[in-house]
Amino acid sequence: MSDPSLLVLASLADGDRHGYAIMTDVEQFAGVRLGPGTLYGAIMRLEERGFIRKVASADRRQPYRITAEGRRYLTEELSTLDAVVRTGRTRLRHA
Amino acid sequence: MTRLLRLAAKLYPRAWRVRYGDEFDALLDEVEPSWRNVWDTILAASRRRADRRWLAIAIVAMIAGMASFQMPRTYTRLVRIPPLSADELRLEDIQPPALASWGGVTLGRLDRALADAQQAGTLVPATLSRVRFVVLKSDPGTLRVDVIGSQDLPVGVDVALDSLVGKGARVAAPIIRTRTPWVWWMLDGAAVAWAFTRSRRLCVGLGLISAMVVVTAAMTAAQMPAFDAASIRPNVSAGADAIRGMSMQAGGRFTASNMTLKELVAFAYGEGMPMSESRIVNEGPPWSATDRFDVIAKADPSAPSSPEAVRAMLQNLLASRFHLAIRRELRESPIYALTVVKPDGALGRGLRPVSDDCSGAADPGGGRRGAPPLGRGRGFEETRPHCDVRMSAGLLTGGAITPKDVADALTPGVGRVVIDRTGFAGRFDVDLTWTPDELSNSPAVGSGDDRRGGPPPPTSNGPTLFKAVEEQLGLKLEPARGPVDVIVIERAERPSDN
Repeated sequence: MSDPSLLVLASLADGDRHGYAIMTDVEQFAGVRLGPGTLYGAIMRLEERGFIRKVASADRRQPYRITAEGRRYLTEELSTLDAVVRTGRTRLRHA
Repeated sequence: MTRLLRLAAKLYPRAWRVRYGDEFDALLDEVEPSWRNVWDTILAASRRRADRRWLAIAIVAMIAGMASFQMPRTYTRLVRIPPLSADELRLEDIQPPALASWGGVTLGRLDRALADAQQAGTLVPATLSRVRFVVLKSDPGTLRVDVIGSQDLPVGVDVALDSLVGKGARVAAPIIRTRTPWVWWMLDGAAVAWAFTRSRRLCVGLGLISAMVVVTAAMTAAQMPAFDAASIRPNVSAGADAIRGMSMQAGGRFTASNMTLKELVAFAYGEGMPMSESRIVNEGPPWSATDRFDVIAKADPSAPSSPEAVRAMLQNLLASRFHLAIRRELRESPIYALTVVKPDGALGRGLRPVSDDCSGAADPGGGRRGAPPLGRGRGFEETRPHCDVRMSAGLLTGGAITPKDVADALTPGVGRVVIDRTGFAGRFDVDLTWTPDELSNSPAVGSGDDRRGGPPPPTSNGPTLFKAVEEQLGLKLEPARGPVDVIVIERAERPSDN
C-alpha cells in the first residue's frame, strides 16, 4: 500500500498530527518514507476533498484532523484492501 | 542542502505558498536535508505549476499547431494599383458601388475576368478562395488587391490581374505569401481544451466549428488539380545536344523530354508561355539546373484540360514528386525597357494603331484567347488573332494588343523581362519577324498549334530580334534595371520513384 493519501488518512485515524509527525508515523507503520513534496501533495488533495481539515495551532507546525467523510472513505478503502489481502492469502494457501 | 531544500520550496506557485508556505517551511526545518527530499520537493512543485488542466491545454494546442503544417498554405498576392488620374475620382469617395470604376481601371473587369476564366476552364477554382479589395488607410492613393488562394500560386489569377493592370497601372508592391497560421491553430486547440475543462457543451460547440474548418481545408486540398497518372524519370542517356522539349496535348496530356527542374518550373508557373530563365532563381540544390528528366503525365478525362489546368497539375506534380518549395518575390534585376526609337514617336511598319478597344472580345483584358485557327500558308492578316498575341520561333503576330502585351511577348526571346516604357496607351496590330539566335538549342515549347501554320518562318539571314524590333516596330530594347517578379526555388529533392 503506497498511496500517499491513504497513508496520511491512516496516520490521522488515531489523532491529530502535523506534517513531520505524519511522515515519521507512516514510516513506522508502513515502512514508506514520504518526501515533503509528496506529503503536502496528498495533504492538499485530501483537504480539497474534505477528508481532512486544519486544526488551530499556536505553532508554525500545522496539525491536521481526519473528518467524518475522511473516516468513511478510509473505512471503504481499507475494506476493499482487506478483501484483496484475504483473497490473495487464501489463494496463496491453495496454490 | 537545507538551502537547496528551501529554494526548491520556492518553486511552488504563489497561491500554494500563501496556503501552505509557513507549515511547509516548518516541516523542512525538521526533515532530513537530503537530495531525495530536494528532488521530491522540486517534482511536487513542478506538478503544482503544471496543473493537469493546463498541461492538457498545452498538449492539445501543440497537436493543433503541428496539424496546421499538414494543411494547405495560404497565398496572398499584394498588388498596388495607383489611380491613373487623381482628378477622375477621389479615393475617399470610394464605396463598393464606385469600385466598379476607379482611376481608369475597371475593377468589375477583374471579377468578370475571373468569372470568364472559370467558365472557360482557364481558372482552376479550387486554387482560389477569394479576392479582396482594400483601400489603404495609410495610403489612400493606393488600392490593394489581395488574392487569397489555397495553393502557392492560384492558377489563372495572375492573368486576370494582368487584365486589371492593363491600362497603365502597375504592380508596385512585393508579392507576399502568408505562412501557415499555426498560431491560430494552437489558440484554437487551446480554446477547445480549455472549454473541455469548463463545459462539455462549449467544448462540443468549439470542437465542431474547428472540425468543420479542418474538413473544409482538407477537402480544398483534396480538390487540388492533379494528374491521373504521371511518370518522372531521370534522363541520363541523352547528351546536351539531344532533342529537348515540353508540350501539352489534347486531353490534358503533358510530356517533357530531357528537361531540368528549373525548366519545368518555368513552364509550370508561366502564363501562356514559359517564364524566362532569368526569372527563375535557384536557391535550392544545384542539380535543379543541370540534371535532366523525362516526364509523361495524363489528366483524368473528366478533369479540365485547359493549359492553365494542366499547369496547375504540373505545379502539384512538382510539389509532390520533387518536394519542391518555391516563393515569389520582386527583385531589382536587369531588364530591357521597350522605348520609342524616334523622338517624334514615329512607328515602324509592323506597328499600326487600331481603334479596336477589345470591349467585345471574350477576354476584355487582352488575355491569350480569341485567336482564329491557323492554316498552313496563310499570311499575317488571315491568321491575326483578335485582341491577342501569337508567338512562335522568329514570328510575332498581334491583333489590337497593347505595348505591354508586346513587351510580355518579347520577354522569352531576349532572356530578360521586357517592360513597356513607350508611353503609348492605345492598341496596335503587330507583325514582327526575325531570325532566332538559338532556335536549334532552345527547348521546343508549345501546345502544338503554334507551329502548324501562319506566315512562313523567317529566313536564316534575317535580322536579330533586337534589330527587327527597331526596324519593323520603330521601338528598341534598352538595357535597364527594374523590379522583376521572380520565382525562387527554395528547396527540392530528387523525385521519388514512380
